[in-house]
Amino acid sequence: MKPIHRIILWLPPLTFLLVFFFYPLGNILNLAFDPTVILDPNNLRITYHATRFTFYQAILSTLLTFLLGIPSAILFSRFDFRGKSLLRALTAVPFMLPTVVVAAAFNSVIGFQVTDYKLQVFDLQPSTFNFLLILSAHVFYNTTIVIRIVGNALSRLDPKLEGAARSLGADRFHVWKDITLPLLRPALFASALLVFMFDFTSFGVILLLGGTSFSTLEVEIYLRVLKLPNLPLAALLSVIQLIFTIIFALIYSRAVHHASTQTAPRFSLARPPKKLSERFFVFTLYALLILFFLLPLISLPIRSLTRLEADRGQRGEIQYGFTVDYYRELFINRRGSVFYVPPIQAAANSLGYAALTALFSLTLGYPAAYALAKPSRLEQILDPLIMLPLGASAVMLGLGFIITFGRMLASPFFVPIAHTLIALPFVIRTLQPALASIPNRLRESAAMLGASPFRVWQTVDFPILSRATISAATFAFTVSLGEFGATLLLTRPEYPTIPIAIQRFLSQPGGLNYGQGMAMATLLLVLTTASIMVIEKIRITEEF
Amino acid sequence: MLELINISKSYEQTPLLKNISFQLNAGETIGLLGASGSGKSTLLRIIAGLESPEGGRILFNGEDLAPRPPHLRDFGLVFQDYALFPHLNVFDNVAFGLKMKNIKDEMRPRVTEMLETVNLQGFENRKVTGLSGGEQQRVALARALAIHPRLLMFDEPLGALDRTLKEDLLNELRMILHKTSIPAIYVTHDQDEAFAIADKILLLHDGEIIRAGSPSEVWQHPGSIHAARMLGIGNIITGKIESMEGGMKTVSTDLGVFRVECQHARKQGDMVPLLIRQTSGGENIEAQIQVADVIFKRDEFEVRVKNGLAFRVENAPKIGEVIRVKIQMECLE
Repeated sequence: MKPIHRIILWLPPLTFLLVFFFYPLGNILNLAFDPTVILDPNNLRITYHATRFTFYQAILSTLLTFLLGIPSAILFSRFDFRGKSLLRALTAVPFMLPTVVVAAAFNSVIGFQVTDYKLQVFDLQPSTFNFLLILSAHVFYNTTIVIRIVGNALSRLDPKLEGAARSLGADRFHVWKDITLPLLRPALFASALLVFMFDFTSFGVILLLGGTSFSTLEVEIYLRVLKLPNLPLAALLSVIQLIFTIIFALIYSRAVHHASTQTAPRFSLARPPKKLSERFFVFTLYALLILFFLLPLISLPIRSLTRLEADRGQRGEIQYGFTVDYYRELFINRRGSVFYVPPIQAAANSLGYAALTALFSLTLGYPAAYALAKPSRLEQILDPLIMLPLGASAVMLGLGFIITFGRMLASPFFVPIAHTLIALPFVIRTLQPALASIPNRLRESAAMLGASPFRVWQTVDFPILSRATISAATFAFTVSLGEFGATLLLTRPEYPTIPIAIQRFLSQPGGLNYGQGMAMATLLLVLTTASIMVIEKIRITEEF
Repeated sequence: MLELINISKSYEQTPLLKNISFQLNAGETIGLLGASGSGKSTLLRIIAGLESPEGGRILFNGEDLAPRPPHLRDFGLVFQDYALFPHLNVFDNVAFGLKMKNIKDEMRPRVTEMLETVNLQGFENRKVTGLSGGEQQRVALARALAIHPRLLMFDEPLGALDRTLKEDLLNELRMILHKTSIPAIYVTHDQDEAFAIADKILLLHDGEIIRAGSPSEVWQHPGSIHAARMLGIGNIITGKIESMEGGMKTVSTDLGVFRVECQHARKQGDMVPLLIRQTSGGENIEAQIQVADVIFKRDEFEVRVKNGLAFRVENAPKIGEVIRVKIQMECLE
């Protein structure tokens, strides 16, 4: 590839990133690095408290995630039992779900018991109850990370090492202290850091389950943009957040780099539980995992179909029973409701934005992936650059847009543009290996047989790339469907998306609003699950 | 010294070891020979205390080992894939057992001495993951030797190494065992290894010891059809007992009618397996064979007979020709 071709390929994605990521980022930095902003005691106090609380909840969430994750990792790596792969898949589902769906699902579990709980959801004093709910949702999200990383390390742990240590005079405690723990340490550290990073940047779950009183850095940024406007403070908070994220990411990549490579035993260590204590362990944990991971996912659709409120405008008896009213209401534009349009319009908006996001990120991702498939020195510099948006939080992207584009944001196109920023690194990472896998000889033979460059692309590249393209497009689509943080800051009231609709429904009093929120969240759950299944199906057929 | 009495163990309801009994004397090396899956590794793990037997007892110098946990047995164990601790360097691997026993003053000289014994001087600070297979196995051996074990056990220790390296290491190992006179059990599926290193051979088949004895005894008289097959000795054919006079039986076979000594009592008309070995001198009998195929084998020719038997001759016969060969015949169980 000639340098000029590379430049042409890089022009669209780089221009896009420059205008919509680096320029807004520069504006945030510019706004934040002002002595009057940084030295303002009030700003410092808020920043300090937000940072402290963010660390506090992230550390606590990580500890709780390990409390469930470590036994689960042992369960999956050391024991065989019926339904194991299904249970494992179940624990992995939450990781791919939008935050609003998880928040709504946890809400629905509680909603069964405390009918007027929804009244407490917002703008109340931070209660221990809400905090526990947030922590559980974080555990729900991230346990799969611990299961995957620590479980893999556990199943790679050669049991002969233990035997060798035992025969050399080590008792059980010393085997654990001198052999098992040192060998697991890289995996424990890497998974802890990853879980911590996700908890540190958590936004949707905290806002929807806790309200603005749980002021993490993310929530505080949101607050200082929309509720108590103070953009310089918001910028300062974003910079603090970005610095921490980058530090964590650097530590993580070093940790993964230094992780020791071990030879895997040639057989699986998993076996059926034998001793009574083993059976008890497997059974108890099995039941706990099923309960914890299935309950929210089942209770959400059930709650969306269950009446659990007094009749409209009545204060009397609570009515129970099956209903499709919440779904029916989504199609009606009621005066005095949360929206100016029928709520189902949010679904139409979401699908439209998602389609645009897929289109944008493919259009921009393809040239970049083509250039990256055969990297030159240029690509070595540009590769980390295009991955950088991953380090910025969604709320920060929204803030950058607001500072930079101001009044122009009336245009509905900024939402899919923000979504594209988030999806683009993943799309490039999906397309790049597929592109790199096509041997140039195929293209050359096609050309020798008389195919024009376009025909070469059409007959050689496209068929091989179609799977990766569908996979990447679906991924971008799914990201857009569930995106909450940036959308919350950028969306116009008349163009709500599904996650925004859910948030608005759940933040309003009244059983009907709550029910509609549940119905909306169920809709998003179904859409996301369908997308995940498409991606998984492609991934699996590629493997075999 | 070490005595196993009726050790039995099953795996998922199928018996793996059935009433294994044998004795290992001071300074002796036992070669335990068996196919993969015959339970030989499990037997080692039971002796090491890493698994417990379902029945039977293990005595060491008269002491029942059942209540003694593995880390207090002072038995060294060397695995096929070495099982070196990947997070420790060579020194710390070899010193591990000494640390566990709180032997501090002697640690450094002892590790150095052990590394010299296995010809790895100066390897102290190397990472074990960077060593070759042969070097790793030497470290594993040094590690097991460092604690001055009362018994050494080898589980297919050379299985992963190539042929020449295997022979070199085997010779070194034999010298070390002689020098230290530590009693040892050497488990393998390779009879050459077992015969080269052991004072006594045990053949393990289907969870039972089907033959025990010195290497030459076992080779001379495998005793059973399984043992002969396992060792790959000679040709096995089936004969029918025509008549019997005490121990001597008259049997008819594809190769003719012969008189053989068969100790185990059988009725007239029974079928018995017979081991046929080709011999050059001594007491032997002649058999007539019809040549089905001739294969050139360096100094001699291999002659194949219709029923799958093979003999060696100096001059190539023609296919279809009938020739005479001198054989020895032994009745198998």
